[in-house]
Amino acid sequence: MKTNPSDADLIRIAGSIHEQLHTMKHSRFDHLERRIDQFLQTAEDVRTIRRRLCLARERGWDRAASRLLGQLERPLRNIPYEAEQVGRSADEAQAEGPSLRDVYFELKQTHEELGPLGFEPKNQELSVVTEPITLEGFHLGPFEVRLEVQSLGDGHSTAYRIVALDPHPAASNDAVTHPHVSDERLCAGDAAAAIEAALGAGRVFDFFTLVISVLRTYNPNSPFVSLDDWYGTGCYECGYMMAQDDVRWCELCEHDFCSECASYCTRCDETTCVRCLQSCPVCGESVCTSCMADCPDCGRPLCKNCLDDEQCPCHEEEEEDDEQTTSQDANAGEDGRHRTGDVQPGPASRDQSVDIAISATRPPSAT
Amino acid sequence: MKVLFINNDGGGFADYVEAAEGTTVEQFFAKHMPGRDPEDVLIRVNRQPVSCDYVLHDGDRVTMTPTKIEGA
Repeated sequence: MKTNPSDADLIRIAGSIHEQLHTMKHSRFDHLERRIDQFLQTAEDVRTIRRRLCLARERGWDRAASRLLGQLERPLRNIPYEAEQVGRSADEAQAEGPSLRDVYFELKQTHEELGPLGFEPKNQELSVVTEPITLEGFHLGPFEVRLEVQSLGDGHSTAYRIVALDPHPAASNDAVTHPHVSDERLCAGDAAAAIEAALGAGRVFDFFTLVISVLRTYNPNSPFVSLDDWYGTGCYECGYMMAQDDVRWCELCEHDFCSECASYCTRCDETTCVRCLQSCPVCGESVCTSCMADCPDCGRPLCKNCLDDEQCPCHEEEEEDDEQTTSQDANAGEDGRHRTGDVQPGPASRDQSVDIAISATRPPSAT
Repeated sequence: MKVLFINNDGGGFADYVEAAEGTTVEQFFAKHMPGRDPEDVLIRVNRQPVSCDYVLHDGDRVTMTPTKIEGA
């Protein structure tokens, strides 16, 4: 990159820009011709409908005539818009391009006010370096605004790049070196139209001034990456800083977690943090609190699947107790030591059954 | 008199506009950029910085470029 170009260099560069602008002027005429063709086609559609309408009236086809009137709506709506576009394209094509002298003075002004102006002869790139930019306390470093002279005629938005010289990219995306720059492309927002107009008119100084103004300003409403998230998001559990794309959100405790501290519920597949998961005592699966329930019989927490399948251990214990009671009752009957007087008539709960079973097995001296 | 006014706020179009004789840059600014703070706008007349009481002349080229523009 050559900096501090001489007057001769500036004249040469001005020549390249002037040539590009001349090419653009030709493309504007092409654009105007396409607009006129479009306008004429719409007018032709109206003429066709008129011809058909006359025919329908001559033959007394009233329904067909009504339908044709409906078809008129669209072209009639488009004609004012297309006429306006033709007028606008004509104005653009008519606009006088800058003289070689004008472009030279633009370059000179840029060099004097924003310079030093850099020039890369091989790629035909003009450049200006900004001061180190800090937005709301976030140091982003200096940027080089590179204008590719040969691309001026191709399309304005691709004619320039924003290169971070001392990049401090967003933690979530290395390509975002500034809240409004991604992959070296500036999302110019409110300055987009003015930048395009400046490039189209060869106003190089205005172009650089506008781009630098955008770089010095932060719009919190639509950045590629918000400054609030510039350094990433911290894991609520371990504090690890991570990119926004790597953040796992726990729906239950409503915090951000890293991939190490987050997991998922094996029942509902919901992402949760490890702390919000419980292990089902029956199946051993990690289940979120929403998929856990208390057994209505014993109050033990277990997953809803196991509960639905009646897999709670209390059911098994009950069966075992019943079996044990039956076998002990049978034994007591055989020994003639069954003390039926201790048993109260009527339905007994599970706990009462256990008590009965225990009392039935006690030796007489203990009662 | 006529002044070439390049307004880089918004569309960035250049137009010749009428200005009364003796119009200062400050008056021109107030008329054409209402609501704007002069400190937030880079003003150049014939590519040169000028004071606010500079009196415009026929054929002057006035450029006004906001220095705080929001990207997207």
